[in-house]
Amino acid sequence: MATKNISPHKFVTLVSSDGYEFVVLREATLVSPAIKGMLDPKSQFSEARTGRCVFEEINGMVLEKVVEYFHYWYKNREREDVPDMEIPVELCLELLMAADYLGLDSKNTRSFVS
Amino acid sequence: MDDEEPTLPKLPAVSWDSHTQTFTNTRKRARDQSLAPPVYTNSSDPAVFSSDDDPHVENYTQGKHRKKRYIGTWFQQHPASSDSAFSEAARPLPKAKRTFERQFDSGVWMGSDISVDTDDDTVTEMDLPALSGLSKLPQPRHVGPVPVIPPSEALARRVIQDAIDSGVTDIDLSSSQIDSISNATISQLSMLDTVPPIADDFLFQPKEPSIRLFLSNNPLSRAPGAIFNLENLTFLTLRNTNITELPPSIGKLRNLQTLNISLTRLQYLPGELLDLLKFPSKLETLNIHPNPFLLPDNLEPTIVIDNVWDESKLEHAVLLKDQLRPSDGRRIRFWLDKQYDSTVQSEPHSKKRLHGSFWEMVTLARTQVQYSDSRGAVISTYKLPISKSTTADSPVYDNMDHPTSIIQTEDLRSSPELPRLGRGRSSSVDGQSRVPSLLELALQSCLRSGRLHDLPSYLPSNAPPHFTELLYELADRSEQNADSGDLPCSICGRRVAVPLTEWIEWWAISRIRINETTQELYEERIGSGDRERIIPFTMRGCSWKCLPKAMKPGQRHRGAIRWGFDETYVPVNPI
Repeated sequence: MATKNISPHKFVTLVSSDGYEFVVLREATLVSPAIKGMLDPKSQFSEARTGRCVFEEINGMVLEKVVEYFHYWYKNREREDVPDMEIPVELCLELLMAADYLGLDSKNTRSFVS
Repeated sequence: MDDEEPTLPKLPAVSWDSHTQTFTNTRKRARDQSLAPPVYTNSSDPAVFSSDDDPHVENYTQGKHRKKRYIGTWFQQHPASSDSAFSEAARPLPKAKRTFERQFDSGVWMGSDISVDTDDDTVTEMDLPALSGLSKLPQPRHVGPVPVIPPSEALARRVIQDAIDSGVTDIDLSSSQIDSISNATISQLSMLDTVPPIADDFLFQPKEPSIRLFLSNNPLSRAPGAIFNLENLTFLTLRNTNITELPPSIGKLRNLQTLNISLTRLQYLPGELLDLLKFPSKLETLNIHPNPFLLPDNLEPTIVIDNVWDESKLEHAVLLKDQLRPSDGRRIRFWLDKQYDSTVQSEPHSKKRLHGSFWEMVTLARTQVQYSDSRGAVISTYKLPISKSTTADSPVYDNMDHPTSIIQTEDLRSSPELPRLGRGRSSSVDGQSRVPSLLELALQSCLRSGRLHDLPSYLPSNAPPHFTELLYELADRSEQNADSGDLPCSICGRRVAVPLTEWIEWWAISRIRINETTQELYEERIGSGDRERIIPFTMRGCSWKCLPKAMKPGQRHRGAIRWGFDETYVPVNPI
């Protein structure tokens, strides 16, 4: 957020491969280093300018769960007693792939994103 | 009569040429008896009918029966003989010699199938040209081996089945040369039920069986995970076996009274065993020596056990009813600490009484903490010598002559530090979150599916290869750990698929006995000598915030009963 000429919007739009759009709080998406890199205003990616990320690899159902996770993390990141988040069994492998792609590993799920 | 009636043309004679595989329309039956193959391939005698002219057998089989006068299909029949009324043109052309080839869609099972296509692979690899346009269905990459019951397994099954049939709760499988027992065999034991005592003046009450399982003196390399699902197990001996690991599910055996794991290859014990010793514990006998346990490199020379009660401890303490007044005039009080164990509640415990003896666990040393990511890859520079990724070049396993190995420790009083992850990244504990990663949540969901062995084959082809390994590893662990692939966190108790922090703690265990008549305490130590006093336990955390707390050497385990001499109590002058 160092550059002044681009004022990043509070929300970003994530688009799935089958065209579903999710409008998510920008801060919540920053848990993913992949999205953080896309949205970095210093980078010259088009995603950073438009605030719109299209994921050709992730379909709508999986992206919905990913977005749910973003908010789950955002809400509970500083809590001591974190509730469980339910992941349906039929989505487990696709979410595994999506989590790997987006870098949602434990080493990145910190409570503060600088 | 024959002259008046029109007669059919004389039917053609036919004979079978065994060389050309065709019917030849010869008038004479010039069959060479010696060359002709036997008509009947089976060994039984040919049928003889009463209507036969000559009952002689040879006459029947080799006689001039005039069959097959027409050849061809039913809709294109023509006489097989040239001397018929039909023209020569109607004669069928001699058939081209058939090539012996397989037609897959003919629906005819050919005798050659059995000799050629015995492998299963040829069936699965058979290409389906008609289906090539469709998306290929996922095929299992790994076909499980056909289970063959080894003799030791069969013996175990028989013993267990006999015990179930007769309601005997002692299952003696000791000294039976058992090298492995499947989970399916052991889990049968959960069906074991005893006949409750029935008397006239007693109410009928179903009695929980107390199973005693003897597996000692066997070349068993791993304890079957299903053992740790048997909640009614009260006695378990794995003495003199080759097991290298005790699964964390041992903590589920809440009714266990005796555990014997001496003379095995255990280098460390699961931290959950300490929870079994927490007050109130049903465990009475614990035999864990000798074993090639890991030793700490540095041990506090003097360990001061805090055995003083004062009012400052009242804030966190839940006092027990029992008090002792030994002959020296002092008073011993017992209490539980709320500070370290949130499960301790004041009401139920304060009414509880001590029953003669209890366990005391005292901390001695701790290793550094090994940090890993959600895939199980170790990130920190410190690696535990027991972790699987380092097994290959670990000195622990290379040096089999000296099975006990000494590993590096950290000061117990210090809080562990987080690993450095490149420049500019915050590496303070406060910056860490307890929220599990999505990768971890997805893995937990995989574990819930119950089909862990099949899951790798459903991974998309572009999946990174370590996922396959990880899923197989989880499946393997779940098999050894009473069907639960996730492990409890040693700090917060939350279930975790891939532990993010791991460390080893050394504890000294002793049994404190109360002598009711002399009102004194006796300490029975587990393990003789200084070396055997130190028992390693593996601990794990579910997030990078779940770390060992700074402790003083000699501090008691959080769930253990604390006791101390009451300093504030002024003894009344004895008369």
